[in-house]
Amino acid sequence: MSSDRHIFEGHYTQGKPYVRAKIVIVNPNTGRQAIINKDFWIDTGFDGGIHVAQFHTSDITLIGVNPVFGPIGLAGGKTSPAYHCLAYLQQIGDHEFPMPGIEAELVLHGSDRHGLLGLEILKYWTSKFDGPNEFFTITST
Amino acid sequence: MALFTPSDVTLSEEYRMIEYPLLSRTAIEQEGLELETKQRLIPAPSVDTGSGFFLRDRPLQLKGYPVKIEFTEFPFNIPWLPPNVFQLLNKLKKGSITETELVRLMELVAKRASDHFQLTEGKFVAMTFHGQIIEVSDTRVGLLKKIQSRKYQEQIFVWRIGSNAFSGRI
Repeated sequence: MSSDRHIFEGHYTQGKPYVRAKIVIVNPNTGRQAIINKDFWIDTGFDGGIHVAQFHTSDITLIGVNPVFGPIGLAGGKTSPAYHCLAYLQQIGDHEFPMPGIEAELVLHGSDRHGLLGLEILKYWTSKFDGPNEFFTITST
Repeated sequence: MALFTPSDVTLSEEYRMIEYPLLSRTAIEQEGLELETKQRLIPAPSVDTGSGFFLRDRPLQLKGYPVKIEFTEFPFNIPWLPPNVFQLLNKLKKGSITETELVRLMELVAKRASDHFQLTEGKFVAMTFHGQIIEVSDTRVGLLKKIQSRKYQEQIFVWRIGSNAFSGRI
């Protein structure tokens, strides 16, 4: 009998594994929060935590958190400036994580509509990708 | 007029010729050496000793005022930066810096800072654009947690030592 705990399973969307996730950024001094709800691509080629488009920076600065500069490595070896701050992953699909959520690096860069969940997040679980059937599962042990 | 020289004087002269020259030469040499040493240690009047006072060859130390070494020109907490960094810093200040130049600036400052502070490869650091280290951590999350919503007088950036980016494609 398996002791694995189911977190998410689903079919690929447009050939890629996407999940709906809720990210929360907290100002530790005031307790104010900024929430990002969007689709994230499970990206095993990204060694960071969470990646979202740079326009979210304005929502974050509104709660008094100022993301800091830091370069990000892109596909093809190019390096580009980005903004970084601390965030919490609170929900994937219908699965809610215990409060305050999973601590992760949030990278604000580019203008992609969808976000990315990288290895720093995926390291907490086992992710299985069935390419031919375009199906994936995320479980925790 | 004939000169009379007592016999004891002659003897004394002979004694001097044999013994004194040796003794006096040694004493003169000794005095000369001492004088030379003192002159070497005492600063010449033309030498600017700042606010320090000297008594012979030693600095005059007032009771309760230990001799202090002050480095006002070269602070230890900021590395030396090459001139091209300052050109890029001026551009950053004016807001006319391009993305490529900004990455180059972070790269140059991080390289100088990691050499200056001998930071270990793989550490995650937050630093100012002048190379002053704000925080160091073993993990990205650890570093971001430390600096989240703290106010800094200068703009800062994050860097992974030994890498060319903070995070990204692998």
